[in-house]
Amino acid sequence: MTIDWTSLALQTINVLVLLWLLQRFLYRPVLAVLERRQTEIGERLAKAETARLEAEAAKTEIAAEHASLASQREQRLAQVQAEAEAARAARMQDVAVQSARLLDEAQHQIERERAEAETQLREDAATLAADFAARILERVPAGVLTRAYLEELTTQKEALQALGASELRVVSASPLAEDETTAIQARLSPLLAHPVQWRFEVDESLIAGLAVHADDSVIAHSLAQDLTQLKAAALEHDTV
Amino acid sequence: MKSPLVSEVLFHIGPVAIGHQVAATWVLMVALSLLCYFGTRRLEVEALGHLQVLFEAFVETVQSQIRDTIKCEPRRFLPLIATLFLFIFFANLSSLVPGFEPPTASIETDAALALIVFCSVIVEGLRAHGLLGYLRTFASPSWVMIPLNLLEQLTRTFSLMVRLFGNVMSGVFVIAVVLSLAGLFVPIPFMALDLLTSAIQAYIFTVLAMVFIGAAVHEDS
Repeated sequence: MTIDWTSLALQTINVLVLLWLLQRFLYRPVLAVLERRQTEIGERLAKAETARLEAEAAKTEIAAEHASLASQREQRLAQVQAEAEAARAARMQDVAVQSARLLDEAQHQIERERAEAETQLREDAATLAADFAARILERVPAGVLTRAYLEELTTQKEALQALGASELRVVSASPLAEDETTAIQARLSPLLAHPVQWRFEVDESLIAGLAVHADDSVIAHSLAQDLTQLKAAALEHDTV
Repeated sequence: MKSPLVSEVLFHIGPVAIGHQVAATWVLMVALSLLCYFGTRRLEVEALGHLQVLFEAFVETVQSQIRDTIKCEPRRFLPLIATLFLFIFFANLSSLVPGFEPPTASIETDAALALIVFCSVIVEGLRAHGLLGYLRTFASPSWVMIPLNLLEQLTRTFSLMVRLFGNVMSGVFVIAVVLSLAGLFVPIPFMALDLLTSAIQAYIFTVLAMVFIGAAVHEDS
């Protein structure tokens, strides 16, 4: 066995040349594309990581916003509750004021009605008292009452002298007897300023007593007038 | 039948005699270069073609083997290791082409491959440890081992050469003998077996080269 050293050298060179050729046409391009792919994968991973971080940030932001909304909702709820509470308190106060006003009005109304009732009762009582008095005085003889009122009438000297009419109408509650008319003329004529014509009339509303009518003036003393004055005085006295 | 131990001269280029193994290597070189040239002209990051997938799978597999065996960054050793595998694998496979004698069945080709590995081991050892450091590795574990370590360097390179030569040459020789004795189709099972042997021998040669280089790089460890 012999070794061809020339072939050995050529084969060595050939293998080295093949190494260079494959390095140029195979390993370098394939490694380049592998590196490019690795780079792109790295970039995509970086983008994905960036997107993930952005998503995390967005998630955190949304959570913060959600918390803020919840806080705002709580605040708004508390505010609305406070407003409702204030409105309720104001309404209650209004109701209390209105109730107090209504109660006051009712009390005033009751007081007024009570006063009116009392007044009515007083009037009724005075009227009843006047009726009682009138009925009691009806038992007294008419002449007695007429004379009594005539005496009172004579006390009005100044008023009688001031009458300038030429005719006087003397009104009585019941028809007068002739002696009574004569007595009246005799008692009143001296008190007048000048002589007059006498005319006698009847008015039952006087109950008892006399009323002297001139043209435009009246001088009256009657039981009806006295009872009216008595009733007014009684009412005034009760009111005071 | 010619002896496989005798180098046959095909032609001369000037004073240089070109043997059949050299010519076959040139043919292989051209074929591989053209295949790689046209296969890598349009490499895409996405939408890979079948050939690109094959190339990438091969490169990544070799890188993975280098990473596992030499325990370092594979980029530097990829061209040598991958070229050794590709050349030996396709050289062995070329025995299946009628009338084509595989270059690895020639002792000169195997010797050239072993020589390249031998030189690579020394270069990488010097590169990793420096001159003194590399020389010091021969005195490991003691200076008494220097002759044996030197002898080991030579013998393992020689064993690389002989192993490849013996396996490929014997395969070719057996097929030739069976073909001459039994007829046209009888050697087919032997050729199938030779196909497997080709791949295994390429793998063994490459792995041993990586082991030797790795040993030189990590001698002290």
